[in-house]
Amino acid sequence: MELKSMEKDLAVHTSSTRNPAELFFVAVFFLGAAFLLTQLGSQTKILANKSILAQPGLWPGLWLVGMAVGALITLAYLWRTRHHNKHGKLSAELLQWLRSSEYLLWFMGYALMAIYLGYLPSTLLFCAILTYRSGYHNPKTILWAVVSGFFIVVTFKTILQVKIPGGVIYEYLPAVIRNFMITYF
Amino acid sequence: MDLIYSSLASLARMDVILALLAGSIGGVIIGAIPGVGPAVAIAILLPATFSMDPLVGLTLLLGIYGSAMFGGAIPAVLINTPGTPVNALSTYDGYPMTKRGEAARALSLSYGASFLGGIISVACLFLLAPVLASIAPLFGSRDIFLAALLGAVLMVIAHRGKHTIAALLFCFGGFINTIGFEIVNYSKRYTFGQTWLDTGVDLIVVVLGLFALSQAYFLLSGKDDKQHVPEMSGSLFKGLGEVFKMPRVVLPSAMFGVIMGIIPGVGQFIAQFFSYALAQNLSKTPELFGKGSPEGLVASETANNAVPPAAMIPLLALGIPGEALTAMMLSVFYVHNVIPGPQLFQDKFDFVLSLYFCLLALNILALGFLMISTGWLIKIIAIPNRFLGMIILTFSFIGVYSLRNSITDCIIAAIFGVFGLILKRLDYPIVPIILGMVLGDIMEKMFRRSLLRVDTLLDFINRPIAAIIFGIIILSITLHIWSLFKLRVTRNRLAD
Repeated sequence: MELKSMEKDLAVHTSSTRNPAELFFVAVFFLGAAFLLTQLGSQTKILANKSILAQPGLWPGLWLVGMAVGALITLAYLWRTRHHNKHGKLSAELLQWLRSSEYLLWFMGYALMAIYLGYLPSTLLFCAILTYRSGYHNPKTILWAVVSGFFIVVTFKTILQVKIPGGVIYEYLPAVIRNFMITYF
Repeated sequence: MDLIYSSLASLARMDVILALLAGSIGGVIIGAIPGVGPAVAIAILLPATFSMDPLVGLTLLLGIYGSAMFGGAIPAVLINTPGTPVNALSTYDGYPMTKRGEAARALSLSYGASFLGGIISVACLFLLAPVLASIAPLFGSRDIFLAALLGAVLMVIAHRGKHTIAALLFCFGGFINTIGFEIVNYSKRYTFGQTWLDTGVDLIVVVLGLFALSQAYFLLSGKDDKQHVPEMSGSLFKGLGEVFKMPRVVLPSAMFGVIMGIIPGVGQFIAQFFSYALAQNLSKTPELFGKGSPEGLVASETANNAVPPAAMIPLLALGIPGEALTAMMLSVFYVHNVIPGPQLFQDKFDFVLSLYFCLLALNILALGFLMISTGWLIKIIAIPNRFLGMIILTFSFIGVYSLRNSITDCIIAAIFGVFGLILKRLDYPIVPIILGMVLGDIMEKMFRRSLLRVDTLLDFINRPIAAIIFGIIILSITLHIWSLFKLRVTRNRLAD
């Protein structure tokens, strides 16, 4: 019983399957921290006649040192255990990161659409198109997505009156509808 | 007595009642959907609460926080998938019970355990309130600085097997917080001449990116899991009564939850671990744990729902959030100029009591809602992952853009979303970054204030409270290093 519980404790502290991009990620992190540390003098003000504890650069410097030291220790450990339980290739993992970043572009596209088309039209369009892009080609699912989008707009803009400015396109609407759309949709 | 009546009267307001209903029901639904979780919901709703009355906004957010764990038990028990990360332990015993045909019993045990955990924790809040009101004002800037440092140390210790990662991500969060214009010396830090960085990187934008957007990207780039939701037969009320017959499990588990909730940086996972281990040790059938033990299920659910109310204690009394979700809620306080900390109990004690009553009501409403709606809530589990990702992405836009109507905020959030996704894929924690931003800010402010009163660094610990906290920091680090050393010895023995 004692051995089993010890093995369980051990399992928490030893690596299980290791992502091949860990070393890459921590190395980039370390390089970033080291670079930012070199910029400490130029990116923070140095006050003459004041102790180091009162300098504006103290806390950014401390955090960057913490990042660099933490990254270095982690790098050393990862390098030592780089052949243990590795699963997959670095290139495949990096490609997966890149693929997932596609949705960053979707999000930014939505944000820009909302500025020009207005919150309601852009949300309905976005929900429909992204649902289709995600592989749901069933009209019922796309309709559900559009209804969900409408529900979100009504909840936040119409009911809770969260501040989202009207779209540029609203300026071309007749005056009566324009104010209504700007206020509620 | 007048104070209690006036605090209770706040609950009779229509906006507070709506917040109670939305928070408890919304929290249960959000918790029941695997892949969402209270962090995503709170990140999205935060900006919307800025225009609400502080009691209303906090009630809504606390409702989601506390009630999510009620709902999170549903997929954990029925399909072996925790609705929120802290319901993971409930799968160990809840799912085997479902496989035995005891799904209704398992669910009602979870609900009852969560309810009792929440109620006991709120009761502790009420009992501790006068103590806190007298102790909190004794905390000065040095004491709060060290308390924040203790929170950071405990948070790192709590990430077993990932200490250096947690530490470096905490430092990263602390660094991000320093970017921008620094008002004490009227200087800019790490803006690289970019005017959009002058106002710094907003905590809520980072939170939305790391929690909500990263989860949306993760779900959208993954596959849909085909979930078969089992049939549920039997009454939910039977298991509810059964929980009341387990005081030896419920009371210690609730106490662990309260203690771990009070200690900054620790949270639900440690509370569950201790209460589960204790329940197993005290059980007459320890061999059933992990195979469908009602006691195991009750222990984990009681502990994890006792944490949220208790986590309000360091936040309200010292202004130090214990974990990421309360760290997010800190911004609601500041926006309304209700500054948590030692003065809050002296200046706005009625507000504090109103919050406690709301926490009580939230638990009652969540339980009541679950008893009548579990049948259709089960259908929510089957929402496809990528569809869910699309919904979260849509929600996230309103959360980010409503803050300052800034496309720059959207870009920053989107980039942090990718960063959060990378951390998820590497199985690295996100919470240290948020705590780094919040605790780092507190540490810097309190450190500066303390400099006016100290001559040397040793003066930081020449007050009794500061000395005790410093002692706890040293003890925690020492004990942890000792446990790591023992583990290394064990590993060498096993290898031999």
